[in-house]
Amino acid sequence: MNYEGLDAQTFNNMFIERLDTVDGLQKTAAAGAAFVRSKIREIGFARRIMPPESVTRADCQRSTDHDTLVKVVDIEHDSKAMAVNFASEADERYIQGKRYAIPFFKIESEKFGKNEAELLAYDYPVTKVIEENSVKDIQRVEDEKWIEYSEAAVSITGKRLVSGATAVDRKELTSLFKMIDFDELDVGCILMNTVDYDDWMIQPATEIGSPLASEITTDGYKYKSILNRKLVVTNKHSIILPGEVWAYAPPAYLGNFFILNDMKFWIKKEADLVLWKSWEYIAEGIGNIKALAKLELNVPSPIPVGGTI
Amino acid sequence: MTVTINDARTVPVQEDLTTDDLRLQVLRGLETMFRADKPLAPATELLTGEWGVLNSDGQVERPGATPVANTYPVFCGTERYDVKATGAVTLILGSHVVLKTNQFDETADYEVGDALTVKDYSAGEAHVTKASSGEPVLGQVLEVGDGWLVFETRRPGDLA
Repeated sequence: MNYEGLDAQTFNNMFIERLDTVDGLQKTAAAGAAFVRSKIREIGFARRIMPPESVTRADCQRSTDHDTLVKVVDIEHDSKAMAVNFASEADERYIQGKRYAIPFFKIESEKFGKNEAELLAYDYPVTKVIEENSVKDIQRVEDEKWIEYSEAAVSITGKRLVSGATAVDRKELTSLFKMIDFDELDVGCILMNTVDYDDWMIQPATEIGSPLASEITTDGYKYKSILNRKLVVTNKHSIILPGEVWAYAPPAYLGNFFILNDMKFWIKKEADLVLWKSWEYIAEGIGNIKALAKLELNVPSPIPVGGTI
Repeated sequence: MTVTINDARTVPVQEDLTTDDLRLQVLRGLETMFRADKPLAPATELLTGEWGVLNSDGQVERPGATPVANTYPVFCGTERYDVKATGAVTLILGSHVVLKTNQFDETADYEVGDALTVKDYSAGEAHVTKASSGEPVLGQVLEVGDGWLVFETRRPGDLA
């Protein structure tokens, strides 16, 4: 379905007309699902840290106690070698693998409803409503859960570095990295919010060199990495508080993110009322709790409310 | 017995899963040791790494406060599905093996060469502890680590 070349009002009108037939409803739902899928991949920061993998029912396990699904994932078993004399032999190991269970749960948007006539009053396409409500809500919950699991991990490992520094810089970041490096892992990704990203861009030339400082002043920091680590910046300040910077090992050493089947999009027209919602079943988790660390900076209140700087 | 969710290994994970499981590691004798399934006495649970006493009925029961010679390490305990299915735990019977474990009486101080026995010392599980005079010796310490012991098993019969 091609949305290009149509103005918003024409599209909204066509959208409503299609909902009057069963075939039209199905096509619209399918088109909505395709739209939702393509957009949500770009938005959630959890998906940029841990790219999701599609699974089907056949890939999952059931519980004996209830009607939910989990996916059980193996943790790589440890092994070692040892130096021994010619006539000696190394220790033996009866392998006892470890696994962890990642429960699936549903994330669902609100059920949106709108009178068809009122829908025509919009100057933007209905797909925008879907994008700005359903998609945003769903991706936000994914991110909230990701940070909840991250907090649970660092509360066990103690990989939480509290710094008196008021802005993020290379020294603070390398201190953060060392907490992961120490466990023979590597940092693959840095997650920070836009407030700290702003602070990153005001580092003086004496610190980052004149060419880069000049470049940032003109074009901003236009690189997708810092210190050769992938940079993920989010504006979700209620999830990632200003001053909080996370470092994660690459996905293979970190955890899993599964999506069961595809995102579902449901739409219905009841008389002149159009209803729609979307949902997905996901399972995300951190299997290696040593593969992440958190930096907490002493950032002053970042919200400009006026006054004297 | 109800199969419950292992909360520590379900998201959010509360355990470092990358570390070795030290409940019971066989460092020497894996190929030659005798493993045998013995039925559990009624209402008995014994986890891997614990020790069990073979009673006069041929069933495995939890060690009591007085150590006895016929006490054996549990190689497969009641936390496993197969053990739940068979109703029998797998014991390492009378074999000379070297074991590494973090399941021991941590209230005692150990040195290499210490004689070990197994009894209920009120820790909730039945593990090795230092043998007192007159108690059967079931093991001898080879290495003392931070939170783990390496010991060789001894054929029951010697007394401390």
